[in-house]
Amino acid sequence: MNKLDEVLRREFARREPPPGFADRVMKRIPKTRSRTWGIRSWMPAAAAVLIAVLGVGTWEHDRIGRNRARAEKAKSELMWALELTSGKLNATRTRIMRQKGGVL
Amino acid sequence: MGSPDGFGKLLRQYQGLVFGLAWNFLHDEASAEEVAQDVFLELHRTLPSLESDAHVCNWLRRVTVHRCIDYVRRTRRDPRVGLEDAAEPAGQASEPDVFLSGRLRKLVASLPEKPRAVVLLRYQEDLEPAEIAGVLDIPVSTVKSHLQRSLAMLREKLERMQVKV
Repeated sequence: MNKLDEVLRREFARREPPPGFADRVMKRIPKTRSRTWGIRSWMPAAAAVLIAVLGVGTWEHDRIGRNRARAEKAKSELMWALELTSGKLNATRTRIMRQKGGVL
Repeated sequence: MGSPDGFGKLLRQYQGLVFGLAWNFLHDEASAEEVAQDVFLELHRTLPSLESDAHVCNWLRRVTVHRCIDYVRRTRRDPRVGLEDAAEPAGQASEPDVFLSGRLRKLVASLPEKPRAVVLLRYQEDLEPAEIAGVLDIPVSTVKSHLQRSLAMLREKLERMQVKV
């Protein structure tokens, strides 16, 4: 390497900027939310809401189903009870008529 | 690399490279800072597409030099002169090192934009001609020609000023 090369390397070395340069650059960086940050922020919340809605809906559907089943059971029991009662009433009526010697 | 901390780290790591190239090219602190700030703002926008530190470094060299060239052409702060017409500061050097620095800077600052960029990339960044050709997007032969002619001019003019190198 000749002398001129040495002088040129020394003379044109990298040079640090004036103090505060980095701060001045950072102040010019736009402070807006990135699109990816916006999407990422509400996705977990939306997922939680969706899961909750599905859960509540499923539970409600099951509850309605159970209520309907109970109602059907109650209805069939009532009908059975009515039939029994009706049968017993008829039997009692027949007995009474026979005791009185009446015609059915 | 894309996080604010990552960008801050790159800023501190490469501010000497960017500001140095701009200052050595433009020979004016305010202009150099303007160019350097713009380069880093563009880096911040471009960072997601850069893959490594080496890629960042190469990108910074390319963008800084091109912005300096555009700045000179836009403002015409230092009129372009041919290599042979570069002005020689008057007077003799009694202490070579004292005057050499200033004269050398003025001589390099008087070079046309592309030869000036070649000299700075060679001596500030220590790049080989093939690397300089990649940064400036010019043929390697052109880089070598610029380098050879610029150095020959510098030696000749310094000799005329009786500055020993």
